[in-house]
Amino acid sequence: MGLRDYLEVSWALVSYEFRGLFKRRVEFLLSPMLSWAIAMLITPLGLKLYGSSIGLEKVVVTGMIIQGTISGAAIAPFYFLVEISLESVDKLMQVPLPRWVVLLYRLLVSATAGLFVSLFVWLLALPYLGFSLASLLSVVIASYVASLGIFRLVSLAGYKVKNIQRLSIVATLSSAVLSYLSPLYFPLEVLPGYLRVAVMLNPPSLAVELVRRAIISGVLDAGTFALMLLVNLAWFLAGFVAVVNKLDNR
Amino acid sequence: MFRVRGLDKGVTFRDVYKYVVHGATFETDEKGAYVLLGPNGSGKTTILRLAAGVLKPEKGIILVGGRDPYRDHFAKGRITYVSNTVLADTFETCGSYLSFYLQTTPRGMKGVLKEAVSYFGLEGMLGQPVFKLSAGQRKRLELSKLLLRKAPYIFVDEPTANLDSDGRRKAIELIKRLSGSSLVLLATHELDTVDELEADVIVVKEGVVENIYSYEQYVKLSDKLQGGYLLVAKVSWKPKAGNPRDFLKRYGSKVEIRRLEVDATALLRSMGIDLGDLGENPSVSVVWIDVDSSEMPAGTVFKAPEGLTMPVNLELVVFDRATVSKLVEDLMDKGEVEDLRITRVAG
Repeated sequence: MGLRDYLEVSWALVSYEFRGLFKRRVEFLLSPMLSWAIAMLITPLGLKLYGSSIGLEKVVVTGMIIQGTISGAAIAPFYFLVEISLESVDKLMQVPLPRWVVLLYRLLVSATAGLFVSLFVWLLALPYLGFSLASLLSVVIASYVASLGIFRLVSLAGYKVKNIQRLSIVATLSSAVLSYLSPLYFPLEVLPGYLRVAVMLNPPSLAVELVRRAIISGVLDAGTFALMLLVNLAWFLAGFVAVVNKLDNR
Repeated sequence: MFRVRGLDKGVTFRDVYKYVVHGATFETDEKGAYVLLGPNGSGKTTILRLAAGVLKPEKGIILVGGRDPYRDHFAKGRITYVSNTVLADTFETCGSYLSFYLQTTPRGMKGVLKEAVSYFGLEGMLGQPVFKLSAGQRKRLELSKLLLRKAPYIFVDEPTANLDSDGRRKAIELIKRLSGSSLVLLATHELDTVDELEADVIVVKEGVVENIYSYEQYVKLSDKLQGGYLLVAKVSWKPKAGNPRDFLKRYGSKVEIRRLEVDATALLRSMGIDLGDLGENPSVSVVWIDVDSSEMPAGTVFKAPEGLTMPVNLELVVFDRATVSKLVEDLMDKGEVEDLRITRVAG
């Protein structure tokens, strides 16, 4: 196999996974998008009318954008894990690329589910937040990086689960943990030191911080970005090892 | 009979364990046809999946062309694996399934999609979701991978299962042709396939390779290896002939039912309802037929039109020769028998 073969096979695999996400697994995108479209109908308006002096809508809507990421990125891993237990994954295992690369491509594509949902919520929130390049970049970067971390953390949680019914329970619980153990509706700095560190380990926590700072002050904070990358990379690696392990032991 | 040669050619299994496979050991030549022969549950499919590199062995060594097919992706690019079932995702179309296989084939081995589709008569099905195909159409779809990746190592699971006589002939012809330039390792329990391919035989029983025979040795021993006859037929069952399952129970342990299903599409067609005319997403997808019960779970109970028969697909294993002819006679009495095929199967 030459370089051109690797490129062609990689392209075929990535485009196949995207088609899978947009055609066969489109519910991963449409279901959370619909929920958030409903959530965005009157909540931001109410918040603006109620707490405009303190910019309440900016704080809460930022949290809702990252909740969009969580809802998009938290369901996909379970189907991903169940599919690994099924014989249909044999098709992917026939692809002439290292199996970790095959899984990596699938994971990178699946994680875009979180990005699409959060971008959708961000678009709906534009009338309240206003457009800025910093906010767009922060949403894209933070959502995708957080999606990778969320995806892997949830993969770890669902590692032993083998049927769809139980998966839905784990998915609901995981979404609750990811959402409410992160500073969705308050800034991280108000928490006491030890609690702040613990909350920072939750994949979406620093993503909320990054997006909120970009939206409120118009700057992308490099320190928060670096820390967010580090935390999510750690979760990503741990979860990735678990998924490869599951594949090896099926 | 275990042949020893260099490990850089052919397929090598050394003391391999996985699922029902308990210490499989064998080696093959670089080219030619080999048949993994054994009854259901003996480990044939697992051996093929291990050889194709889609499963990791718990223990033991597997080499294909001198490389580990699970860890070495280069080896995977030199393998065509035709599974017993189509390995498609839910709602995946035939076209997408075949295109993906072709696109992930290294350039030097790529076949032509049109040729593969035409050979197995899949024209007009490329836009169809795989789940809508019949068992025979699915098998042809999976077999067409043989013409998409022209690999030096070809592993085929039950190549003739569910095929009609024309499909079976085409599959055997193609495999025979490919075995001239590649190594073909296939799994089956049909002895006739061995004869048609003139293949060497690897006998698998309870997860262990019991013996390896050249074709000439196999010919002398085939009677001993035979465990019964596989009878495949479509029967237009007369309503007054009763329940087919009850009828087959009369044969006791002499007949094992592998498949007994009502062909709902054909039944509806005989009643003037063609599912093909209902467009892309027909609203009728499941038909519940319970002849014994006076209560129907849904729908309307109606009197069967005069002359209506129930199309039944049968796959039976018959364990002695005398029962085969008796069974065929009885089936002809119960309805019109079409596309009858009787092959010998391994015990």
